[in-house]
Amino acid sequence: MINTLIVGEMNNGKLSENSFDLLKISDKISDQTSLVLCTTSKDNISIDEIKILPVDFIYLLKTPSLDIDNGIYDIDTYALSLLLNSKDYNLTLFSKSEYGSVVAPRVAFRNNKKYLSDCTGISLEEGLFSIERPIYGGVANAVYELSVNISPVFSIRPGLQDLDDINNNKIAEIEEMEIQFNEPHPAKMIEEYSNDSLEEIKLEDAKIIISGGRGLGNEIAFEELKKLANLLGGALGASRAACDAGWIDHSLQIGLTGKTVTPDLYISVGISGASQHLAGCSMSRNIVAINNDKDANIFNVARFGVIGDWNQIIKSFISSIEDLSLK
Amino acid sequence: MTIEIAVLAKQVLDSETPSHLFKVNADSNNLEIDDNSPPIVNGFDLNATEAALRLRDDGHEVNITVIMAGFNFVNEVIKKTLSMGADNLVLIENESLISCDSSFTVEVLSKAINKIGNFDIILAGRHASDFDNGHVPIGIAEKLKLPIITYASDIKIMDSILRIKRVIPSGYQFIESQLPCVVTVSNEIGEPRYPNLRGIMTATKKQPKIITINDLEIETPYEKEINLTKVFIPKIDLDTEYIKGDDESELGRNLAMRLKEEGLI
Repeated sequence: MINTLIVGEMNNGKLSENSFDLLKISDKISDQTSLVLCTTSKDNISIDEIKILPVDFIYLLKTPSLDIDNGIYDIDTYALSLLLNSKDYNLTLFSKSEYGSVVAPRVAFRNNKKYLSDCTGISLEEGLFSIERPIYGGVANAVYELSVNISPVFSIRPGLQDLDDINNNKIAEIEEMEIQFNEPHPAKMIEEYSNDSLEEIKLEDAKIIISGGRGLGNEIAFEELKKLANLLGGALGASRAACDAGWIDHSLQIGLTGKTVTPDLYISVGISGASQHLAGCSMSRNIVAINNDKDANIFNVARFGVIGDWNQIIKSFISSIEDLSLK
Repeated sequence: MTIEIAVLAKQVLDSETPSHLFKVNADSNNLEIDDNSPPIVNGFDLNATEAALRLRDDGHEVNITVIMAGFNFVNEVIKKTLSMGADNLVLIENESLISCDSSFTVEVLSKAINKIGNFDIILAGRHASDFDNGHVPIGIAEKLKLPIITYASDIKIMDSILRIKRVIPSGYQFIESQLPCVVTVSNEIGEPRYPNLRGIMTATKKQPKIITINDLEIETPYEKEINLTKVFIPKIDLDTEYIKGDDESELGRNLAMRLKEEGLI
């Protein structure tokens, strides 16, 4: 019998989409699923809404609300470790969000559990978990096997599960626990700055993304792409090379070390297509690659390819769209 | 008072190599590069080295020790951090360190950190660009019971406190930590410096210090609980449709027409 613990994250009082992905995975391989939520007085959790989630047990760990712990997560690491030690799970799942990337390995190593991050596939056969995850920035995939007896911890890459709902006729049993945290805070979060206003449309939500890379040559070039993004009602993105060069803010970086995006249309301009960039955009429904190097890696994942000088192509592309929309 | 900084670094294959040059080595269950190009020091670990060197640039008296755990080290490669300006290099070479079970790496590096000395700051790259895990520094922090701050894009020492600018998806945070602490550094910190001639000369003369697994009183072979059973390069079956045109102006126009036809714009 497989007993799985899912570490959920809340987003505006609701379970995050990434956490729903974990429920779908657990539904396929577990006999019993528990969901744990670390909540503070700031989260407005509606018991009526969460008790119909497709899980058997829900643990609400009521933790002190301390902004100084944001990004460090000493309190949640402590609280989740308490729960993990008081129950017997075969598997603990986190989403590979910013939160999961930090808390999952902290909880795993604190409790001497084996850990794999950013898993894209998980199956169960004869007492073994078989795990698939990309390596070398997505150049290759690796398959691992671990015994269910060692109760591993995995973080799961967001956005890969299908859209089907889970059939649910369960009413979850809910248990609330007050967590006292009296340990010191050797590291404290002092200030937080959000650049969200930079993006009129959030990259993660955009249906169309125009993304620029090293091939653009300078920061002024991004103004042309911005113009195109505005025209199409899309968002502007960039490769790591363009961000590292200082041409555009790092919050627009797409790739393994930036954002993962899944638009209907991804127009890449002057991007060579390093694997770590493709890791963030290859889930797009349609990729258009504009590049003057016909051998650029980006063409391997592109549905439409345009070989030539990006500057001239984009200028003509923009004026053609303006003409087309007048008709 | 000298501030002791450890930088944890890994030798990896360059994941920015064009992907068609990678192939799977079935014996080692790992990738290799077709044209035998040399490995590199993981790029994020060079970012971490750069962060350490900038603390020296800020006027602090620092002693920077780079610790590398791995196997089959290439001499010219591992000396890169010394030529950038790091003071000491410590190597721990053992075949078990290329295992996919990184809890062994965590144990080895934690014990090495304790053995070498009293570090005030332990820096590492945000992840190694071969297996992309990013949990070794976090595991070490847990093992040594030290604060862990991830994804630093800037580090400053203020009195006896470290002030870290931390990258988050929507922007950034400032985090202040007591010493000692573990910090992972991200590419947002900016390009690592190029070694100058003097740096290269100094590095040539320096000999790395070797620590063995036995020195750390760790038993080998390590019994691993994670088995890497297969590595494969996924096939991409996609027929790219190349837009035709006599010049760039026509290419741009035809692209617009084609995307309109498909209802994509």
